[in-house]
Amino acid sequence: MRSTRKLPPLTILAILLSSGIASAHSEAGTAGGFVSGFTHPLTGLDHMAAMVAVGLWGAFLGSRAMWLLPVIFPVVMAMGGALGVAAVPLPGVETGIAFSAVALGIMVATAVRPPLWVAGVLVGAFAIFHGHAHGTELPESSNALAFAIGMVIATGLLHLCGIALGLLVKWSWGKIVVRASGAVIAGLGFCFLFGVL
Amino acid sequence: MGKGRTILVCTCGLLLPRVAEAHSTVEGLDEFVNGLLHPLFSPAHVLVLLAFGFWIGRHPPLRLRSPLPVFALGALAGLLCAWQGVLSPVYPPLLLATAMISAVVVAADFKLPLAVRVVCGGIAGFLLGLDSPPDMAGTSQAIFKTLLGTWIGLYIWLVNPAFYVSVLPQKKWAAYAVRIAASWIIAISFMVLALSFAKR
Repeated sequence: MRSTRKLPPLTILAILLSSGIASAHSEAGTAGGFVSGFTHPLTGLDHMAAMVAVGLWGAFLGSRAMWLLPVIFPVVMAMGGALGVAAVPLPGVETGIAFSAVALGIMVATAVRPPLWVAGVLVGAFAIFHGHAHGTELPESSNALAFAIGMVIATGLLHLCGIALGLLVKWSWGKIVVRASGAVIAGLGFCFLFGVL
Repeated sequence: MGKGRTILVCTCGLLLPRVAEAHSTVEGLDEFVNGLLHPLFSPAHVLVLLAFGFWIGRHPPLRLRSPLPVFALGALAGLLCAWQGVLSPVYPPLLLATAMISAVVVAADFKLPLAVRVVCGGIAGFLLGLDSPPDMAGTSQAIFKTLLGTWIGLYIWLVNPAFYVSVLPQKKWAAYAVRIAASWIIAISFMVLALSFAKR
């Protein structure tokens, strides 16, 4: 027999209040912080292009640069990140990021081989802009440490992608591929610089 | 609605709160296993264990023996202090600073004397132990099992990176990979340290 009795309002209220928070796809806690940090460098094509270019140029310059540039970049990026965290204003952050893709792309495309310290200073200078952009997001994240871990790992993996591509320079056809990749990165940087993308 | 039903609804409401998740333990696992996994649930602990593990692993295998017992003693002392509530909780930036210093030594390839590694091992172990207080709501047996699991867990999760780094082939790429990973730890620690000081 079908009951016609209604639930009392207090019971309905208690049931509504007792339900847990839906946590599917939520960006909360350590996992959420990690995911938002990991995806942060991957959501900006200008960031991605510049990161790949760092690894690409490092591999192109030889074995010492191949490990030195990916070490310099995150360390100096962290300093830029600290400026962002401290809300220290840095003019032209987005321009600096786009210009880093242009400059590094041109270096690879034109096969420029400066002394190692020049390459280190150049990469370090650009890292400040990237770090500042990431650092301003850090206080907003649900878990700052997990965000930083995700962001640095994603950045490092992009460098490794660049290094892997750059290792093709061992072959003559590979040099063409690497230099063409540099040209594409520079082109993307120009598009961001002039607001086309 | 009658008084009886109101009391019933309120009682149900009181029974519904979720399980407290302090210490990020895994439900259904034994206290000992939870203790073993405890260091992996704290990103700061993982950073310290990785950075210090890389550091001691970059020295020949025979020397690997020296800082580890001191680390274990430090961790034991830290866990006992945490259990007794002495010096606990740890000031969070201290752990990140420890991770960063260890990672700087690895990334810059500083060759520091064994005594420095031993002292740093003791400090790292003590801080990690101190930052791993057991759930005092449990029975004394559960607390003991958690403490024992955490102590062994800290040791295992330090020995792992140290061992793998120490058995890496004597190739340039292997050394470079460890230094790049150390630079990532420097970057992470530095940014979060900056944030913790900016918040003050």
